Amino acid sequence: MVFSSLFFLYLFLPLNLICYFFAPSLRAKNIVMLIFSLVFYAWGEPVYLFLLLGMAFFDWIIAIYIGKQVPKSTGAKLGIVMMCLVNLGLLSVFKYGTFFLSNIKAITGFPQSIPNILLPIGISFYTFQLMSYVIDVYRKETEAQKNYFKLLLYVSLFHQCIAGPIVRYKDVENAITERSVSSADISYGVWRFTIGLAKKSVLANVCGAVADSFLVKDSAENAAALLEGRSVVGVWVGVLAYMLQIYLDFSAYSDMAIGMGKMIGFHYIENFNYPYMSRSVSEFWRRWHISLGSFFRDYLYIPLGGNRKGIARTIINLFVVWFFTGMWHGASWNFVLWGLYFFVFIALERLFLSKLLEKNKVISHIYLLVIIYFGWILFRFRDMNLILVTLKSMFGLNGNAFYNFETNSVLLNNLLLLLVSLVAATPLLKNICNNVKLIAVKSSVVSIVYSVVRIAWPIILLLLSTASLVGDSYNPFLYFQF
Amino acid sequence: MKKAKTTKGFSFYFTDALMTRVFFAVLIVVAVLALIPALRPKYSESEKRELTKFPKFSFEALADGTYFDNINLWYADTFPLRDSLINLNNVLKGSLKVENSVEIHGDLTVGDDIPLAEDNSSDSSSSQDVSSSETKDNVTSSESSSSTVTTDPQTVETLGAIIRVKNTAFEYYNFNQRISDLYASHISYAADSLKDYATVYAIVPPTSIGVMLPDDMYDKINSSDQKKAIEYIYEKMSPTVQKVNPYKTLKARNDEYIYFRTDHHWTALGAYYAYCDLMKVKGVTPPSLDVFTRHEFSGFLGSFYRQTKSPYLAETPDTVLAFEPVWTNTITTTMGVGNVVDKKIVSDGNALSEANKYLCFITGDRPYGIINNPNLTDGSSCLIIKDSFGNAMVPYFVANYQMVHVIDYRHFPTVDARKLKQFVTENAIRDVVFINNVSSTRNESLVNQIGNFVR
Repeated sequence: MVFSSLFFLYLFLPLNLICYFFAPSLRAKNIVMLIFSLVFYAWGEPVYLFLLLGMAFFDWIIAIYIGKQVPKSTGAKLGIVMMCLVNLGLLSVFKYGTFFLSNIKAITGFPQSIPNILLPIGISFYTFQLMSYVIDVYRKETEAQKNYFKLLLYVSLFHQCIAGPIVRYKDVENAITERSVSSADISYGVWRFTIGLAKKSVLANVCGAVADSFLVKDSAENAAALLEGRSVVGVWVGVLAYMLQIYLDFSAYSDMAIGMGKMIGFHYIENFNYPYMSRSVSEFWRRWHISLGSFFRDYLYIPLGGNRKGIARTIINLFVVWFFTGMWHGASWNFVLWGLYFFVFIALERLFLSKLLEKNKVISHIYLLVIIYFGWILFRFRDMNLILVTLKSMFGLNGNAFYNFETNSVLLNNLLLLLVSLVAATPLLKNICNNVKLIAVKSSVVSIVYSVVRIAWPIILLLLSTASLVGDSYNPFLYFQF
Repeated sequence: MKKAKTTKGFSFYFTDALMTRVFFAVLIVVAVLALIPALRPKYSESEKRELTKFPKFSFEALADGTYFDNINLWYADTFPLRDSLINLNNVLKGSLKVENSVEIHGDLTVGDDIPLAEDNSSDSSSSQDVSSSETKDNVTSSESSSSTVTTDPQTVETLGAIIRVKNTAFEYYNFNQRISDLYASHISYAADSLKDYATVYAIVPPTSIGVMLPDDMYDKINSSDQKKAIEYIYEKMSPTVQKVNPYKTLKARNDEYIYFRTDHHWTALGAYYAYCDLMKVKGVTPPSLDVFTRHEFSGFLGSFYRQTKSPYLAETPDTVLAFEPVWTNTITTTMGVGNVVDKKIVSDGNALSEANKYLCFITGDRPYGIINNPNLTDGSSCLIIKDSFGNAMVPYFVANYQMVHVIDYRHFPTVDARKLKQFVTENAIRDVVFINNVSSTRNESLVNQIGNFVR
């Protein structure tokens, strides 16, 4: 099930909220959330629900075991090694099994037939959540949860289970056992949820359609030939549309997760902070998919020694982190390449570039946007040849036209929505809203206008999203593949 | 509960509280309304289709997730006020478009340059096998069909890129020299090998983009010139092939309703003009349309609509014109599974769904059909080897031939192992007519299927 579906919006969510608010005790509320979460997961992956239950069970046991050991003792270390083997082992099999085998086959010729393993939805997200929990228990940063169902609630909570944010157990531990929700939390949750919903169903889908029309769908049979014929302007706009789509799509999901959490008293960490406003690659990754970046920082980079063991070691550590960050995004070499692409720039920034970038805000912003822009080309195509063809088409090296009638037509059809999407990727609207609120405090006329807009806005966004969802069949959630 | 206060102490507590209540009220009211079965539409007027039904339960579907997927689909597809919401979406998105009259759908392939027909250095009798060329183009076109015959032949087609101009859509055409050469060589081979038995006629109908799109627009878009392409293909064919080029006739009449606006086929009127051109080449006077029984079936939304789902097309559906032969309206048809049944040459289009009205001609793409005109006893017979463009033309042949054999080369081999020459000699056929629209001549798999049948 996806959040941006009518079934979720008008059946699952209202039912969940009604049951939740009428549940008499916190225990009952937790049971409601757990049942709804398991149904939510099973709705898309009935069979893989057992994998989720099993992994949560294993990590529940091992965390209790580790919690009983003396810190840093052999027993505790053994537990943590076991935990990593099992979790990463399962992730490897289900997410990377086909990829590993096909690479082995390419080199050695064996095995002859490669099983096609379907990726369990959200496995990359919930595996990392479980691992962070056990490691935190090992580090004595949190206590092992005695109740399996409470741990299961943490990991399966439908708000964030399948597409993030990658919530840490210690951040929601208190909320599971005692939480209160204020009126302000609920209204903020509603506000945030509807913004995410509209971002996804109105804007991201339009950007996606533009990207597909200029850049070719990844699945197109003769993709290379099609890309060679695209106009120069078309390909540039296509990559831009893809850049907007992927941000709007993914951040919308986090908006909705955070919004729904707020409605019932869970406070998930922010996952995006207007990443395209950054002025360096390092900053970008502090603003983009924050919960993933901090996971790798806390559980890989720093344990490897971080930047405390000299510059050479720092560079090696960065390499490892970015190799795996790329890998996390998908079982394909282009994602590894994409991760290492960022490694290069982050390493350069560490060495000398960041000092230069600090000197000029405009140049550093352009620098970041250019790098991110080209990075998304690596991200889009699993086939290396298509990456090259796209790059060549961008500079007219495939004998393609600079501009043509079709490019003009698609552009004119979508120009305004692309511009709105561009604005939605900046904090402009948020700032305007905050400033109007400040003025509204002083002026009664403005305060009336503000109040009317404030009340109507979520309903307007809901209506627009509903109309889009009914009308558009095009509705992929990009981050489901991870 | 705490009050949400701003820094100045002014509170929008009530605003926010009201916002929350209004939102939840709307959400829950809609949720309840959506559960009332009577409010769920079963048919979409704007899309002209039956909406998804609630899925049947099976453990298999439950285990692989499709059961739940289909419930989601049913829920979304039959959402209350579906058509109104779609209209709202179209109006809103339409109003945000700087330019709304032209839209491109699908993936556009740029065509090869078309060599001038006169420049052909290679011998036009190139009927040797060139089908072994290694490079393979995957060209999607209006006639690409799976090798298996389905009961509803129209639904297997996938179109290439489509351009919509106001309420009319056109499929792009990209010339492919290698495949065009291959096509010409197959027809040449057929004509040469049948030299002593029958005359081979070739009709390559242009598609609507080459005929109906205004020239000033045609010059701007990335679609190959069909006039040049058809001339090139004919130039490549052996002199033994009798070439019928309806391009000029159709172009001159492009103010008439000769192509559909929502479907990639020509109308029966377009097919009639091409038939007249064929008869002219043959030296026979074509029958007047007045001798046929005229039918009109309104409310046709064809393949272009199915592909684009454009509301601009849905607003003005096509009307299918059909001319029923008065001598007989029966075509003895071999169906995809091999059974033989009597079907109508022109059937009642009103009984067909909006999307399938073109199936009123010889009930669509069947492997084989034979028509016997009881009014003629001259022993005349013809064989039509066709794609779906031929369907609308079949009724006219009944006026001029005692026996009309119709073969859809894409499906015939599944029910009959005979090749062209054997079929022609066994049935004492005098005229063989190939009707393949220009879009088919860029599709390697289709051209190979023709090759397999003629060689």
